[in-house]
Amino acid sequence: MKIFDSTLFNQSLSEQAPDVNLQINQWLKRGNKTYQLSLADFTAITDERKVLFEEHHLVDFSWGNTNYFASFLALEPLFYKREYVTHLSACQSIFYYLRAYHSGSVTDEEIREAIEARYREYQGDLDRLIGSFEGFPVLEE
Amino acid sequence: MKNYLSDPTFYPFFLKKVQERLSGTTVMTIEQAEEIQRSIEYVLENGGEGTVPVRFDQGKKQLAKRFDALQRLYKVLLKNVKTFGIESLEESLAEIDHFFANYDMEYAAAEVDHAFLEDYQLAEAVPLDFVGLDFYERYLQNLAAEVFFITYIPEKQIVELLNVYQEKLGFDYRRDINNLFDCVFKQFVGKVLAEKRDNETLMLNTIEAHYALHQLKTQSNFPALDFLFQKNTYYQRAFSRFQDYAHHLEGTESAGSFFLVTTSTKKRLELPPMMPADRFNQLIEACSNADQEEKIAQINVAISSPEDLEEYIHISFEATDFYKRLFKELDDDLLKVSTLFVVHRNNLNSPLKIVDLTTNRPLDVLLKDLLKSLTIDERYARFSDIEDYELISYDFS
Repeated sequence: MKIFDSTLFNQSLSEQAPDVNLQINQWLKRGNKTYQLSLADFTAITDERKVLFEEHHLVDFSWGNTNYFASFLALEPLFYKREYVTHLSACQSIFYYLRAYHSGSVTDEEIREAIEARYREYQGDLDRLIGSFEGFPVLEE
Repeated sequence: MKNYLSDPTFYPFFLKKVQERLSGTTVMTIEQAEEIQRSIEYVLENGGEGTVPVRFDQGKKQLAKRFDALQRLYKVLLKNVKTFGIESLEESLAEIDHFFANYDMEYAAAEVDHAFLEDYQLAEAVPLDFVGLDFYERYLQNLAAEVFFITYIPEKQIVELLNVYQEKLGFDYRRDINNLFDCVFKQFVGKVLAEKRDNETLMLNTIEAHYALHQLKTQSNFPALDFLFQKNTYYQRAFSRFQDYAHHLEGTESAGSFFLVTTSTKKRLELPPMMPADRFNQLIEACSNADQEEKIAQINVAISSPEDLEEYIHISFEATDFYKRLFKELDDDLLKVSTLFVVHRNNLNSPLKIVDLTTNRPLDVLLKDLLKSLTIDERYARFSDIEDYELISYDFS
């Protein structure tokens, strides 16, 4: 009986979703991108998140973390929507991998900044980015 | 239980509580989220009627009241408890202290420390579906029933029992006893069922253990135990469990493992069988025409069983003086075995106690007279070695 109900959790979380979708499109506009995320694009991101939750046995009570990546990626030279969505999805996936890896002493912000820093270091090379965190999940001070 | 899935106000409240809990992250493991959900649901169940936030506040107040009452019980318990050095009991008592210091009604109201469950085991375990305060409440109430029963029994007797327990099982009771109450209560019940009236020991001998187990298996009413059952139904339930267990035992041969039975260091002396009737009649005849000295000689030669001796006294019509002389000159072995016989059937713990007997069976009376005719020192000199013996294969049938 008393188990965490992810259906209700996801339902309650998806109530915030339209705002998130809108917010991302505003950032894309501000980053002078010629594309916008459709509902289908955004749903794909949402579904991936749900899978990540199950995979890492955790839940996220806000969109703040995905939002953060959506925001800085909007300023990166990603010329096609497909590219943007792929990069957003990769960052999101690395984030939950690291979140499950690190204990509560590391904040979400520290993890997000570490991902952004290495993203810039590897100039958006996703293979190297993912490989680097898989090899060295420990964050630099 | 309320169905929270159908209550649209539950989830927003739950999410708000969770977010208040988080710092530096918005992520938590599903286990943590489940724990908080269980906690909130538990508080709400105790919160009566109203909206979710109102019920949550009421629930916390209700739980706080029960928490305070429980803490008072715990303090009384600590004052009264005798642990006899049993490690698991001491650890559990300390662990409950930890519960009182850390009970978190906001986020972990329904938690039970599972490490705690592995320490001292109650005679009656708390049902598995008890959580949070309900669990600790039931645990302490049960423990209190056990502790108060133990305080009712003289400490010396429990120490003796534990020492026998230890010798029998070959390990240190301080480390390995599962439940003190169970051990003590079982012996106590055995004593009551065997109608053992002395208040010196909890130990039973083999015969008493057989009798008690027989009673347990065959009787359905036990008025002698009612006073205890009225004090607390916990004792009645403990008794019922013994009874159920006893019913599964075959015969009463296992009485010695069901109850703790005294392992005697005494030398065993077998009760000599009674002589055949014709042999007994010959003796009577031979004695009928003999003088006192001859009679005594005949008796000492022919009789080896105290029962025959008693029978002889029963049917012969002699003056009291003759019997007094007979006992003074009685064969040493016959005197010894007769004394043991009397000690045994009157449940005495020493042959010297024969002087206090008020029974009027011939052997009892004559042995009492013999003892009384001796000084205290002489009694010791003659009877103290009898204490090293015990009579076995006593047939009650």
